[in-house]
Amino acid sequence: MQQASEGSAQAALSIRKLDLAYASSRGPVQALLQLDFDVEAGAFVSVLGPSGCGKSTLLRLACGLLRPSGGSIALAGRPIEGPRPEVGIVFQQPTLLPWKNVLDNVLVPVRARGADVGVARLRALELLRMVKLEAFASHYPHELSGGMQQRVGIARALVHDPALLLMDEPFAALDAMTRENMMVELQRIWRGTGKSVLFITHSIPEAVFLSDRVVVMSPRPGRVVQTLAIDLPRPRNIETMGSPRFAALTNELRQVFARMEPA
Amino acid sequence: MSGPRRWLPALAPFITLGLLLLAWWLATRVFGAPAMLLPDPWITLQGLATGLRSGEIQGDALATLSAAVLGYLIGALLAFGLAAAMAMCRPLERMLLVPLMAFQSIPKVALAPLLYLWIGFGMQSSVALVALACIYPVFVNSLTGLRAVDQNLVDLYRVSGAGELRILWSVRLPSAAPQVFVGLEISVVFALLAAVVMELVAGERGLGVRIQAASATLDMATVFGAVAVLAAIGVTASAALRWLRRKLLFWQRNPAAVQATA
Repeated sequence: MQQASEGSAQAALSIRKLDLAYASSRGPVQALLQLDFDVEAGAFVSVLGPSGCGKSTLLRLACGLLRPSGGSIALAGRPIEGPRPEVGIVFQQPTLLPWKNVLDNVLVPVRARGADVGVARLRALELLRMVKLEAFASHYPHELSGGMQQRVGIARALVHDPALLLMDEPFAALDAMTRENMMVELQRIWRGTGKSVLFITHSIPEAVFLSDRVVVMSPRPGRVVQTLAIDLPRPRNIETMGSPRFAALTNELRQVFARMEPA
Repeated sequence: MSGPRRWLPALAPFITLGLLLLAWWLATRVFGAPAMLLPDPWITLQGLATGLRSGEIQGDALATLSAAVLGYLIGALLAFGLAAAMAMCRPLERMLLVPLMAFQSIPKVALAPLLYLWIGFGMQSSVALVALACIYPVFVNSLTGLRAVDQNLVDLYRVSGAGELRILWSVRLPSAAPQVFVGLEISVVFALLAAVVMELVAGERGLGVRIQAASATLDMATVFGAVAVLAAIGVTASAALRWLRRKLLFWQRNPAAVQATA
């Protein structure tokens, strides 16, 4: 018990009995019900669930765009009451400004805050090197492929050095091959930066490959059905996906979904 | 090999223009349309040349153009300001959207005599009518554009701690620009139309006044010359706006994807 409370004090993101209900034209909707889990500092945690399980709602709560109707959600021990600089977001679509070049797109979170770009520019260039786009700093988004655009999105999410990275199905819009490359790339970037990540996905292999822990959510009302620790050794690579342990873990998660009632 | 293929498509509109001129010439010379109603192309050209030499046409064109440009700018700015205010403030939208749509169903040129009585003779009433005619297309397209902004981009700015004004300036305005341009292009035509109509009703000078005076004396060459100048102004203004759009909105690869709202 003692240990548990210490653990939650250190967590990058801690979610306790979190409820979210809202009124819709068809009456009240319970989007999230008694959600309870942590993202420990430096950990990679995936939230896995079918569409309509409130994954995106959870993300909006985590970045301070929504308030919970019950329970609590806290960043580094402080309840989230509005947008906070300690989070960076990567969306499903690259969501870049088409009229700004790659470097200026990476600098958006700095400029949006009205902060000085001077030092951030060096950091942005360093991040572009990390996502292997240093040669494209002055290109415009429409000149890049979907995978490259999404890498710009990742660099942008890291430019203000947030402690927690929120990723909302960032590879869902990419083709299968680009997607596997991006998974390996993301693992490399995550290991290089030491950020905590809350990764939202509906792909079982993606969740298993990337995560330290997978939180499975049920469809509406979204609640935690199971939590699965992923003990695959790191760094993981394409071969990892062919290993028996990988197959066993993905299988276990498939079973969880098979037991779930259809939405 | 690629030579004729490249310049032939660019020439195609001029072929149509040439065919129309030919038909016009045939109508007057071969089929004997009365010159009192339809002067032949050559006489029209001579009339145009005389008008240009005396400087009358330039003066009239300048008068019409000044009223059209001034009214257009005023109307477009008002419309855009209105759209921006309504995009930022829901209650304002609820109050104004329905009245504005009702206002659109009034044919603006029907207000010309009224404006003449209220504002008086000359340029100021032309400017007012042009502004009224330009407001709606710019307004409704701007509002559509400002509303259709990618919500994730707005969220990204909000999460980064940006205020509504910064979001308006950095995200909404540039995102809406292609749609705003659709409205601006539609309004160019309305601006010229309104300027000429006001001159027909109560103009001091301008191409509309020129057309009316010449029709009264059945001077068809002058009428046709003035119409040709109006056409040239319209085509040039639209082309200039398209050029400006391509320069400003360089990231847009498929402008046809932007649907006009009217």
